[in-house]
Amino acid sequence: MAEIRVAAVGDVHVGRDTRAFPDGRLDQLHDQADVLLLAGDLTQHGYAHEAGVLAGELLGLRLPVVAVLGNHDYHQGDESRIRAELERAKVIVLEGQSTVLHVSGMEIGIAGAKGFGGGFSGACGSDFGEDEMKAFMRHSRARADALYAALEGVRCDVKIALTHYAPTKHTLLGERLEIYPFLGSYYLAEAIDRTGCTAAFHGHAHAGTERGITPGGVPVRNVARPVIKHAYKVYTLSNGAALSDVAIASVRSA
Amino acid sequence: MNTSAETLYLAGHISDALARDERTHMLDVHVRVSGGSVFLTGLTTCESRRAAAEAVARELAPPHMLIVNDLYVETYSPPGEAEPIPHPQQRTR
Repeated sequence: MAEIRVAAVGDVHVGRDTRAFPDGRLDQLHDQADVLLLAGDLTQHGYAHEAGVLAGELLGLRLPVVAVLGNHDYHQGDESRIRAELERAKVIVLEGQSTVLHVSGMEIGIAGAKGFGGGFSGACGSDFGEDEMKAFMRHSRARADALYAALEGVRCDVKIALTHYAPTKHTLLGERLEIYPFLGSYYLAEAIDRTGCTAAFHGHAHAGTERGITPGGVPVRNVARPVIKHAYKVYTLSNGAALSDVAIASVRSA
Repeated sequence: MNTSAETLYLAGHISDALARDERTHMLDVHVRVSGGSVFLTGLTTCESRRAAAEAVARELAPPHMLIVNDLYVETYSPPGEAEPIPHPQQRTR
C-alpha cells in the first residue's frame, strides 16, 4: 500500500541563541519523510531575525516544509516579516490557505491556520458582552472559518489540517483545566470534521498529550516538541497510491 | 492580607512577568512559592533562557526569598518509529 510520510513538530521556539535542529537533527529527515510540518511558535520572542535563524536551518532541505505561525510569532506584531523570512527559505506558510503536494499519483492537500482559543463545546466563550470578549471569540471564529474554507477548497487524496491551537481537548490532557479556553477551540474541530480530513496536527499545548481525536473521528496529533520529546515525529498516511518524487502544486488562498 | 494570599499573588506576578519580560517570553514555567522559596519548574530549550527566568524571578521576589531553579534544559533526539494513521475510508466504526 502506498503511503506518505509526514514529519511534524511544533513549538521549536528558535531564539538568538537557540536553533530548532541543532547537531545534525535534520540529517536523517530526507530518508524518513516526504514533507515536514511546522505547527507554529517557530520563534521565541516574535522577531524576524529569529525566523531567519530557522530559515537558515531549513534552507538546504530537499523536501517541502509547510508551516503555520503561533502566538509567539505574533507577539511583536512582526508576523509578516517572519513569514517573509521563512518563505525566502522556500517554506510554505499557510494562514487560511492550502497547498497541494504531488507525490507521484497521490495528491496531499494541507490547509493551515493559526487558530485561536475560545474553549470547547459546553465550556467555551461566547460572542457576547464587552467588545474585548466579542473580539476574542470573533477572532477564534474567523480563524476557524478560514481553515474551513481552505480545507473545503482543496481537492486531494489525503487531506491534512495544520494549526497551532488545538482542535480538541483530548490532546490537552496534562494541561491545567482552567487554561483550556486559551489552548484551542472546538470551532477548529468542526472545520476539520466537515471537510473529510485524514489527520490534524497542532502545537501550543506543551504539557498536553500527543494523541487525540475530533468528535467526528479525525485523528489529531499534538506535535509540540515538549510533548513528542523528539526533534520531530514521523507519521505515515496511506491511500493506496505509489510514492516517489514530490512536487509542489500551488498555494491557494481561502 | 494573609501570608497565603501574598504567596499566591507573588506566584501569579512572577508567572506574568515570565510571559511579558523581553528576556524570557516563557508561558509554561510553573511557579510555586512555598516555605520562603520560589520554585521554578518546567522545560526550557537552553541554559541562557533558564538563567533569564531565574533573573526575572529574582527581581520580583523579596530579597529574603530563595529562588530554586528546577527548570530543565531539554535536548531532543531524532525520532523513532513512524506512527501509521489510517485514511478515513479505512477507519472502523
